[in-house]
Amino acid sequence: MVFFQNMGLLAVTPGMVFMWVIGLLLIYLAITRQYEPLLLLPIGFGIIITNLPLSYLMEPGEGLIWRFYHYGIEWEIIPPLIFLGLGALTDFGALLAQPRLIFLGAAAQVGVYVTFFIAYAMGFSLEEAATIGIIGGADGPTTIYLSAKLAPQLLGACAVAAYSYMALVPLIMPPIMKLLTTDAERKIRMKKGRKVTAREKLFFPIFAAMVIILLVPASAPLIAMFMMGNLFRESKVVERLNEVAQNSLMNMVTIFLGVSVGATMSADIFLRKEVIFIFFLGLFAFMISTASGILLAKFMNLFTSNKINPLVGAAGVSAVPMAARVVQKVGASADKKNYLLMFAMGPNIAGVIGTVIAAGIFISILK
Amino acid sequence: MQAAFEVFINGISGVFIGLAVLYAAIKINKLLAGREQARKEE
Repeated sequence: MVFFQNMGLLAVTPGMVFMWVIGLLLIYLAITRQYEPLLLLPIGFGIIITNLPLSYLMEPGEGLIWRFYHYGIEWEIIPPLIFLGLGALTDFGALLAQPRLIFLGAAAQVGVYVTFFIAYAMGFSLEEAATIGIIGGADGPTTIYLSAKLAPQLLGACAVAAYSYMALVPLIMPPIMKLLTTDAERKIRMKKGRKVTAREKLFFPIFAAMVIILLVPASAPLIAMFMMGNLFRESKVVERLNEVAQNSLMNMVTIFLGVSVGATMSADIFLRKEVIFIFFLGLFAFMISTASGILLAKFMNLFTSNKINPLVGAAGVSAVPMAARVVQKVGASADKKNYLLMFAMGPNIAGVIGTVIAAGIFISILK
Repeated sequence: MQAAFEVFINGISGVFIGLAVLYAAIKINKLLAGREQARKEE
């Protein structure tokens, strides 16, 4: 009977079953452990449905989810829209109050480039190595954006690695932070930053967009949207746009982003030994980024009387605001009355900008 | 390997230069929009 011949059930392979298990694991982690549920839940479901045979959901030109992927990610629409929402959600006050902390966000990108170099030495192409390295920036949309441009075949693995490690920040970062700092350093109390005026906050997104895009034009799609979202927020005259950007629009594109990323992970693409290397290298990048931020903070302390608590350097990896919260928690474990959260938000946000610049440099050199 | 090394050097220096220029922009922003309004608010 033709009905039986067209059944997907007969075309199931062991690889597909394995991918169902991975999809179910991500859904489990999202629901029971609350690990990045907004992303891991649709990604997990996307993995399952794309590995159902004969569904052709990712068939180029006709599959439903292929259309989400093609027009949303390959056409570079969804990641910049996520950045629009992030900009609307971001308060740059902490960074503007203590601008020297911006360099900690730069230091955290060292992990990106060290991992890039190692990945290339291991046999990945320059484009693939760049995509793997950017995982160290701990910024999901930027990882997806760069991957779609340079190495689409690694998009699913790199995105899942990035979001997984972002969810695991509270487990990955504290041992590195404690290893690289003394108890006395963890107890350093930083001086409160100056008051930032509303006008400074209003001017900043305009200045920042101009400066960064003039320096690294390839970063324009992400930085332009990020700063426009922030301008919505700080102008205080377009509350409706601000509200839409940070809520409904961001939620909508998150659905398409998650399911599209999950759907790129078909068994034939995902089940390769390179993917295991990607997960290890991604973790390595994340650890180096954390360490380099801390080490730069310690280095800066050699030249200033206004000491920086080196823990704050760890927040240079993006993962907003989780990394800053972990800094607060580790700092409070050394000194209960030491409030580092606001200080950590500065490098945390600088890390987002730094990762976008790093991605822009990769694109401008390799594309 | 030479190509990777060039990307490595350009990348790290580019990120630091980019954020250093942004640091300078924040300082200029403070001069333009920070002090006067802070005085008014006081």
